[in-house]
Amino acid sequence: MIRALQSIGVGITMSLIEMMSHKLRSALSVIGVMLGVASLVAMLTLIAGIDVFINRKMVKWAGSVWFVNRRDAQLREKITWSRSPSLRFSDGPYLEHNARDVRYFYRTIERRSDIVISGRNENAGIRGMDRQSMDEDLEEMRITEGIMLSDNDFASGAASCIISWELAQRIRAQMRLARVTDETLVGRKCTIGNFMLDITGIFGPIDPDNKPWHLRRSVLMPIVTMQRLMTGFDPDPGSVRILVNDPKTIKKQLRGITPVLRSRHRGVEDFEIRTADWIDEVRSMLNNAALLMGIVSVISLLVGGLSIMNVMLSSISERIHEIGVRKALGARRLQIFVQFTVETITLSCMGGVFGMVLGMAPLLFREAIYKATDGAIEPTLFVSHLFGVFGIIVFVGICFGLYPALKASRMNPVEALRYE
Amino acid sequence: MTMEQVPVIQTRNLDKSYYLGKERIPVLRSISFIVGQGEYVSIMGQSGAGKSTLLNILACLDTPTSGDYFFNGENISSLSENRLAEIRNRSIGFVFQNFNLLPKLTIAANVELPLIYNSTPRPERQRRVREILERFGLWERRRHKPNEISGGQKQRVAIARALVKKPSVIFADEPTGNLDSHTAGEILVVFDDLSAEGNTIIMITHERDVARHASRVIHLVDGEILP
Ligand SMILES: Nc1ncnc2c1ncn2[C@@H]1O[C@H](COP(=O)(O)OP(=O)(O)OP(=O)(O)O)[C@@H](O)[C@H]1O
Ligand SMILES: [Mg+2]
Repeated sequence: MIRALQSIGVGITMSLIEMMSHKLRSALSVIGVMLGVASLVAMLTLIAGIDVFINRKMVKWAGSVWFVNRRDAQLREKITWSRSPSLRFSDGPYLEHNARDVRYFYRTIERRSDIVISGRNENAGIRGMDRQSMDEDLEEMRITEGIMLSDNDFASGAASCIISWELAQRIRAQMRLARVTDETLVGRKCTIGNFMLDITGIFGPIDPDNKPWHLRRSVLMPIVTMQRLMTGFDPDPGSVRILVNDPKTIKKQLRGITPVLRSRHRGVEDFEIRTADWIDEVRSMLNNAALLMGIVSVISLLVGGLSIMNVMLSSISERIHEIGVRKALGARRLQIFVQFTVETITLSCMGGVFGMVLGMAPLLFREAIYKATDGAIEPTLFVSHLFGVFGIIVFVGICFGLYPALKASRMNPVEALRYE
Repeated sequence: MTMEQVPVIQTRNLDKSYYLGKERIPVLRSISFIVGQGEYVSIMGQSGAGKSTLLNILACLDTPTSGDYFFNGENISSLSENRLAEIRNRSIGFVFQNFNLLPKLTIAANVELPLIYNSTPRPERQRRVREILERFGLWERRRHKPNEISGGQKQRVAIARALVKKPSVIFADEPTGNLDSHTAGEILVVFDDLSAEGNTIIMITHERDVARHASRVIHLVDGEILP
């Protein structure tokens, strides 16, 4: 036992001496491992970035289902369709109550309409929304001029609205053409049909690169205002958007939801169902990209491991003669074995540490990568990944290094000595 | 053989064969001889006679195909690999024709190596390395690498490395084979001195005048000892 411990001590001493006296060779193997670890960590960082995108950025749309009126009815169908009240705003609350898998109904009524501000005409999307839906819709927007609609506005259905940055720009462009000097819009009236709303604020994107199309030219007001002034309480809402309980199994849940709506429409399926199919497409696209990166990572892992083995094997064949000499001087198997094993472990650990540092490089270019991929990849590093990779590469290093070490320790001294 | 004098080396019918595929190539045939404490034995013979093969077996680097070999009374044929390493480390000093110094290590580190392998404490190691290097006039060269010194000096380092652990036998396989005659003479003087101090030495050589230094000569012809 004591002998074994001493042998291990000797092996460690020898490996340290060896590494110090073969600096170039040691450096090369460290670099091999380093590149393996670095590429792996970098890949994982990017893959995690994609995951973050899928999970955080797309979740907003992921569980949504839109019901819209079908407009492609055959003549024959039209007769039965007259039974149905067709799509109503009240379908939303009804589904919320009666369909188990509907978690939430976005209280929104949507129209397109001509509007007039300060005598200038524009066409815009008009939307009445409850506070929660509006807040969610404006998540990546901020008020650039004036103020947001107040809780009181929502509660009382005040004749107030906010307008989008692009609409404001267009109106102002018209004003400039007409040589109107006062370009203030906040506080002015916005006329929609027969009604006039006060403009309390203008909203615009927080990130100038992120401009959702549906918000570009729009006028937003409290749902109560919309109902009171324009559409009545239970109009055709344009679309009924609901959120299902579990975004992952939309299709399955719809099998329970659709009949509820159909029965309310007296058995007529005069609506179409739209889910964010494109999300699935994007998701599978991104997953494919992640898979590809994963494959590359595994390859780089193998390359890292093989480079350790290669270095160890070549350094052993370089040193066969030397191993013979050591054995002739009385080195025991365990001493030789430990010498090579410790060398492998030390070199792979060093490579691992440097590789981890290098692999974090994508984090430095986080912004650039984020921009270049339109926000699809937001390089993210999990500490668990970092140490996982480190663990794996050291494990691989040891596995690949063990064979050469074993080979070295088993060598017959006479044969090793004859080797030049 | 009396009780108080166990021979350092005793072989009985040592055979060694190599196999090339199925073909057996006998190299040593029934080698039996005894070497007593303090003897200086020279092994002579033509190239290919089996001298190195014999010496490797005697130095516990190799094992015979059959026969018995007693080293200090211990039967080597039955020992484990680790025990053999231990004997090589404690009791055997080996000097090679081509020196076999480790090129990346300094002179001092080369000489220290056997002591590291038997876990001698560091201060003791340093004391013995210094003692032996001073004896061979190499202390000033201790920080040099092997390729920075002459052939004769290399061989003296190798001898120092063999001696540093105070072995019971010194084996040398043509230690002067790679040296010019003048330097070879100097090395032979070293062996004479060691012999005079009572060391047991077994040395292979081609040359008759080298063998003259020995107290006994064993002639090997085609793997057999001439009577
Ligand atoms: N590993 C081996 N495999 C096969 N044959 C071998 C092996 N080692 C040595 N031999 C053969 O054994 C014989 C004796 O070799 P050995 O090296 O002992 O000779 P030697 O007397 O030392 O010669 P030299 O004076 O040239 O050193 C030679 O014929 C050699 O070819
Ligand atoms: Mg020979």
